[in-house]
Amino acid sequence: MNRDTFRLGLGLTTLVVILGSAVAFTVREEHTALVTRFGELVRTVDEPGLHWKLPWPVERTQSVDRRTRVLETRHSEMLTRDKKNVVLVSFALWRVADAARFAQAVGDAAGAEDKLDGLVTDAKIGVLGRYDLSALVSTDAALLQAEAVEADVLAAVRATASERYGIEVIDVGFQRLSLPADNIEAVFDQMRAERRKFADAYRAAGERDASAVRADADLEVARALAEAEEEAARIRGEAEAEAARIYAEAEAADPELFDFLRRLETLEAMVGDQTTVILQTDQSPFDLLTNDDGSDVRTVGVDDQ
Amino acid sequence: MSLKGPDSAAELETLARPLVELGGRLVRWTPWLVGLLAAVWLGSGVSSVAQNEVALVLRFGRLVGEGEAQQIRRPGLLLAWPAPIDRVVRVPVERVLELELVGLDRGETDLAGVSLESLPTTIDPTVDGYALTADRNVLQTRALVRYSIADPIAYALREQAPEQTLEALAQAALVRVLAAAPVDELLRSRRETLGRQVRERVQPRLDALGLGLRVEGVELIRIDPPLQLQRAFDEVEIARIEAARTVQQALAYRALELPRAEADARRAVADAAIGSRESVARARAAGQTFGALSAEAARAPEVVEQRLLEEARARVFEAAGSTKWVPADLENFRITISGGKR
Repeated sequence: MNRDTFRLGLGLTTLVVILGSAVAFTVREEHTALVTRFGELVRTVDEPGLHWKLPWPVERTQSVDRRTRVLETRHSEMLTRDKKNVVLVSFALWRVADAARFAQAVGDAAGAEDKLDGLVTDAKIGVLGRYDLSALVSTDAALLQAEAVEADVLAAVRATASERYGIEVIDVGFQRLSLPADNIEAVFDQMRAERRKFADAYRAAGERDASAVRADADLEVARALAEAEEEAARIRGEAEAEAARIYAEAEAADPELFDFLRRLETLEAMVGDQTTVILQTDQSPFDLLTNDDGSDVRTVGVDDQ
Repeated sequence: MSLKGPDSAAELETLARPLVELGGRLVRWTPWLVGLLAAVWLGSGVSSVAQNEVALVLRFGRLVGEGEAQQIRRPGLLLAWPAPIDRVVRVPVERVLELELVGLDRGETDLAGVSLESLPTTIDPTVDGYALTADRNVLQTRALVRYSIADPIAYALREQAPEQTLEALAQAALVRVLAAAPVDELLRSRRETLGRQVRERVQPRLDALGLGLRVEGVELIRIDPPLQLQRAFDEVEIARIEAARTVQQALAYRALELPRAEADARRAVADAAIGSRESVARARAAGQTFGALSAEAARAPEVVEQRLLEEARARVFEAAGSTKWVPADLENFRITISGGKR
C-alpha cells in the first residue's frame, strides 16, 4: 500500500475511534444501562454487549449493577413476644430487579444499603414480637422455628423493597443472635451458678459412691471374719467334745484310778513357790533319815530347803 | 524589535532545518511505529489459562460463546481481542479456598496479660462475637470454611461479593447449630460433627441461591466459653476428676482390706484346727497312758499306788516354796499347806 492510502486509513481509524466512543456504549453481564435524553429516561438496556446512542450531551448512560449482593444489618435490639431482649444482626441477599426505579428511588448502592437496613430492621422488630425467644434458642428441637421467623421477615420486606426501590430481596437470615450487654452479666452469673452446681454434684456423687464402696468392703470384712470365728468355734467345740469323750471313757473304764489321779493332780496344782509344806519326820521320804530307834540323824542344813 | 531582512529569515531557516529534518524522518518512520504499536496492542489479547483455573471472555461486556462448553475457556492458549474490546476474567477452579469465620469469636483485644479478675464483667456484642446455646449459655468460636467454585459463570458474573455472601450464610448456619444444642453437649461434641452439621445447613441454601459455590468442609478451630467463665468451667472438670479419685481411693481400700480379712479368716480357722488336733492328740495320749496304768494297777494295785504317791510327793517338794519338818511324836498332827501358787 502506498503512503497516502496508509495515511487515509490511519486518519479514518482515529476518527472512528473518537466518534465511536461518543455514540457506542457497552453493557456488562448482569448490568443495566439507563439511557437518558436531556435528563429524561428514554430506554433501559439489559442485553450485554455493544449498543448505540446519540452522543453527549443529547443522550447519556448510567450503569446499574444488577448482581446479587449481601447486606449485613446493624446490631439492633428488639423484644420477643415473651419480653426478652435480643440483639440481632441479619444478612439480606438482594439484587436490583427494576433498574429504572432503583436509580430513581435510591441512586446508588450505599443509599440502597441504608434503606434496606431500615426496612429489614423494622420487619424484624415486627416479626420477632410474634415469637418467643425459644423459637430461636431452645433445647427442645420442636420449639425451634428459625426458618419460619426468617421466612416471615423475608415476606415482610419483599413487597415494599420491590415496589418502592425496585429491589428484589432474595433471602434473609440471622447472622448474630446475642443479648444486650446489660443482660450478659446476668447470664454469666447464671452460667457460673450452673457450673458450681455441676461441680458440687460431681463431688457429692463421688463421696457417695466412695463411701458406698467402703461400707460394702467393711461389711464383707466383718462377714468373712464372723464366718471364720464360727467355723473356728465349731472346730474347737468338736475337739473339746472328743477330748471329753476320751476322758469319760477312761473314767468309765477305771473310776477308782481316775479319781485317785485327779486328786493327786489337784494337790500338785495347789502347791506353788509361795507354799510352805510342813511334814512330820516319820513321813516318807524324811523317814529315811531317822535311825530305827527314832533318833535323828545329824541334819545340818536340811531344814530350809 | 526591528524585523531584519533576508538575514533573519535565513537564520530562522537554519534553526528550523534540523526540526524539519526530524519531522521528515518521523513521518517516514511513522508507518513502522504505528505498525509496531498495533502489533503490541493486538498481542496483548493473547494469553494463557493456567492449569488450575478457567477463563471467561467478555466482548464489549457480553460473555462470548453459546453454552457452557464454549463460554468456559479451559487451560491452555487463549486468543482474545485486546482491551477495550475483550476482557478476560479468570476464575480459580479445582482448588480449595479458605474463608475464616471470626464473627462469633472474641475481638482482637489483646487479653494475654490481663488477669481474670480484671476482665470486663460483660461482653458487648458489637465489639466481641459470641453465640447463644440452646440453654441460653454463651460460647465463642472460630471456624474455617473450605470451599471451591463449582459454577465459574455464576461466581464471576452473577454475584458482586461471593465470599462475603458465603461468610454470611456460613455464620448464620453456625449460629443455628449452636442454638440447637446445650452448652455441655457442644463442648463435649467432636468438632468434626459440629463442622459437618454446619456444612449440611449451608450447602442447600447456597444451592438454592445459585451462588455456584461448594462447601468442601467446615472446621471449628476453637470453641469455648468466654474468658470470664473459663475458671467456672475448669472447676467442673476439676471436681469431676477429684470425684473419680475419691472413688478410686475407696476401691483401693477395698482391694487392700478384703484379701487381708480373708487371710485373717483363713488363719483363724487354721489355728483352731491345729489347736484342736493338738488337744485331741493330747487327750488320746493321756487316754492311752491311763489305759496302760489301769492295766498295771489291776495286776499290782498297791505298788502302783505307792509309786504314784512317791512321784506326787517329789513333785510337791519340787514345786513348794519351802518345806518344814516337825518331829513325828507330835500327836494329831496334820499336814497343812499354806500359801499357794503365785
